[in-house]
Parts: sequence; C-alpha cells; structure tokens
Amino acid sequence: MLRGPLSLSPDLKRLREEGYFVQVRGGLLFLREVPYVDSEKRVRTGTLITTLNLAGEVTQRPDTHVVDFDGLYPCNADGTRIEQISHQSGDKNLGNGVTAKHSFSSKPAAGYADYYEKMTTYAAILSGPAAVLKPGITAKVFPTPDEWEESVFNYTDTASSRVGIGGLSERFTRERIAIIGVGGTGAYILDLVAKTPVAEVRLFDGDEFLQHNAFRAPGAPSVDELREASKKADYFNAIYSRMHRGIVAHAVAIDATNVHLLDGITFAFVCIDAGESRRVVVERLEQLGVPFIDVGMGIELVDGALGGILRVTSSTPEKRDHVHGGRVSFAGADRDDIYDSNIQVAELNALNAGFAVVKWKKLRGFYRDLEGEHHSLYTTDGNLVTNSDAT
Amino acid sequence: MEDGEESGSIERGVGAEHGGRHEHPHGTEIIVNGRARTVPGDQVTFAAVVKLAFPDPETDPNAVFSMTYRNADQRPSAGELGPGGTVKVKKGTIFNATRTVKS
Repeated sequence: MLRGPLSLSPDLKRLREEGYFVQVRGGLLFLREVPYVDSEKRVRTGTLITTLNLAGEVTQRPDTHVVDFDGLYPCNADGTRIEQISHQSGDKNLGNGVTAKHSFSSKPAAGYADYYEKMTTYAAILSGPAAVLKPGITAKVFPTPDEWEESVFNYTDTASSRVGIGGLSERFTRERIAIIGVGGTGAYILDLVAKTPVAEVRLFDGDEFLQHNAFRAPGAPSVDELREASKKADYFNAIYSRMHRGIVAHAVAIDATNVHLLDGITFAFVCIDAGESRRVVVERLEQLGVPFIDVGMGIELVDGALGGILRVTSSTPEKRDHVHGGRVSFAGADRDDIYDSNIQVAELNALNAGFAVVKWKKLRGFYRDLEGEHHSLYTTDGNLVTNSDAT
Repeated sequence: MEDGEESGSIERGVGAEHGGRHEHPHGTEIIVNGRARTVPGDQVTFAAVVKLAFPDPETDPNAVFSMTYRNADQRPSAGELGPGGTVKVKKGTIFNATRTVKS
C-alpha cells in the first residue's frame, strides 16, 4: 500500500494518474523514462529529478524551479542543444543510485504552482523534439504500481535532500548503533543519532527518568510524563520512535550476565560513569571488533564559578591501546570520591554529545578528518580543544 | 634560612638574602583549575599538577585524570599532558585537571 507524498499530495497523484513514471526516494521526486533527443539525433530516455518541499509528507509549493537530469544533454530534433534551459553540468551524486549529469532552469514568471506543473513543463520541453523524430513517444508510460520505499523514518528526511547531501547520509543505512547509558550525554547523542538513517539505535540504561533528569535531557516532559517515572530507556524510546522506526530499548545496565545484548552492533557510544560496567562493555566491544566512542566530563565549582573538561575518546580495531593507557578510567564509581564532582549541566552534556557524534561521522567518512585524533578534550575555561593519539 | 621545598605547592621561593639569583626563578605562578598556585622552578610534572588540583592527602595512585595546559613556555604551548609528562611553565601558564567520568 502506498503511503507518503505520492498518495497524499494532489500534484503527485495527478502525475501518477496521468501515467508518468514517478517515484519518491530520499526526499527526491524522480520522473523516469522521459524521452529526449541527443546530439546525434537519437531518441533516448532519461530521468528528471527534483527536491521536494514537504510538510507532514504533503507537497508544498516548489521552492526551486531547477531540476536535475540523469542523461545526456537534451537536444532539438536537429541535434542542436536546447540552450534555453541550460543551467549547470557535472556529476552530482544524489544518492539512491542516481548521479545527475546536468541541471536545468526554466522559470515561469510566477514560479511553478506545484510539482505537476514543474515536472510536466520540463518533460514537455525534453520530449517534444523526441516526438518529432518518433511520433507518439511520450513520458506517459503507465508503469506498473510501485512498492513504497522502505524507510527507517516515519516521515521523509527532506533536510538532507534539500541541501544535496542525501548521498552522504546513505552510508549510515547499515549501521546499528548502541548507546550505552542514556543519562545526560547519552540522551543528547540519541537525539542526534535518531535523525540519521541508521538501521537501529539500541539503548541500554537501567535507571528511571526522574524530575532532575528533565533538566539534563533534550525535549521537555510534561508533569504527567514525569509522574510515570518510566525507565530512561523506555521514556526515550517512546519519544524518538515517533521519528525513527529502529529504536530498541533495553532498560538494563550492561554487566557480565547480559553483555551478549551487544551482539550485532556496528558502533557504540559509551556514556556511563566510571565503573565495572565500562570494563565489561569495552572488553566485549573490542572482542566484537566494534569501534566505539567513550565520553565523560569533569566539572568543578571553584570560587563560585564552574569549569572543567569534556572528553571524547575514540577506539577502533586499528587503534585500541590508548584507551587502556590512561585516557579512560575503569575505576569503580564509589572509589575516588574526593576527586569526583557530580556536576553536569545540560549544555555541557549537549556539547559533549555534539563532539561525539561529529567524531562518529568522521570515522564513517561523512565529515573530513585531517587530524585523525582518537582522544580529544574541551577545556571550558579556555574554550580550548586539544587533540591526541592520532593514527 | 632553609628552603622548605617539597613537591606540591609552596608559597615563597628561596629567601631574599641570597640576593640576585636570576637564572633560577624563585617560583612560577601558574593557574590550576582556576586557582593561582606557585611552583618551584619552571618544569611541572603531571603528578605535581594533580597534587595542586587535589591537595587532599588521600591519594589514589590509580585514578585517571584528563589534564590540559595552555600558555606554556614551550612548543606546543597548549595541549594535553599525560601521566609521567612535564611542561615548561612561565607566569600565567594555565592547567586544568579533572576526572572526566560523568555522562
């Protein structure tokens, strides 16, 4: 059964009903099998592609009159280029197995009222010359009904398609992320990871979500939600499942008896206070050959103001040793009380989470990484970032 | 007059009657976790900074600290210091040391 923009938007429905071969994938609209003429006067077919301006899976007025085209440059019946629509040329990876070679621009005075008008206009410009050479040829091919795209989101990520980074986001679709500990930092990491198309986000936390937790977590619970005193893993599962269909919650802390729950993970964020649990987790992740990022902060009150350090430590199968060489603490939580301050503040949790997620994405090639650090500290009173343990 | 020198913080350097000992500074004022401290000489070790940050005599030799410095008298002038490391300091060198274990 079709869901989403194709069945909910009148302009896209009309394109379908008139026999155009339209598909929606990754926030883009594809109009396939559009006939056109190449510079050798041969009739070919190509695909027109546009971003979609959506609100709640329903199209809005097109926000750009430009389209992309996967095919050779379209020509008139005599093989001369249709210059009036020329815009840009060059390979553009739009994700979903599509590379566009050209883009076109033909702007009506008032802009396009809807996507029916936009796509039929370009289809007509391209296919008109083709119909001269092959009378009767048209873009209205009446394809057999299409299965809806399998997406991990309940509504389409048009943020990525809008700025053309859909192809980059694709590299996450096979990732299964574990977030071990959804306290302050872990919860902000969840907030960010749930906005990526990873296959699964597996949460581990045995604690309850209480009133004080509300002041160090993304979003804003109601008093009624607080009264439920749900487990943190369940509380966050309910919220983020509204957006991402791959959230899995385990309302337990990881220990030696249940560490098998990490099986199948491809990446982990370790966001727990120092303790035996961390030792068990790190050991298992190393055994599984899984890369992970461990975070932690230490903030102190000195002479009436706060200051301290936020830490992000990365461990990959190629580089593990620094974790055991003094970068990360495996000491029990109840020891070292005289050193430990319990202070955390929401924006510091969020900042620590932001650094961690950026580093994960660097490890996956989404962001350029020229430093290659596997350990990084942010010192609040100096606004200073220091990097260590490069590969 | 004796110099009561020990590792850890001292408030004054060698006495003034020695007069005009310029090569070796009498003590360098640095900042550790926001507090001014004076250290003898101009080389500071990781362990010394930990003691300055946490002067409580109940020490745990296994505790893991994250430590950064800046405005040091060396290249690089800013960075992370690890166990066993030393930094060449001058007046105004800033250290932060804490256990980065909270999430």
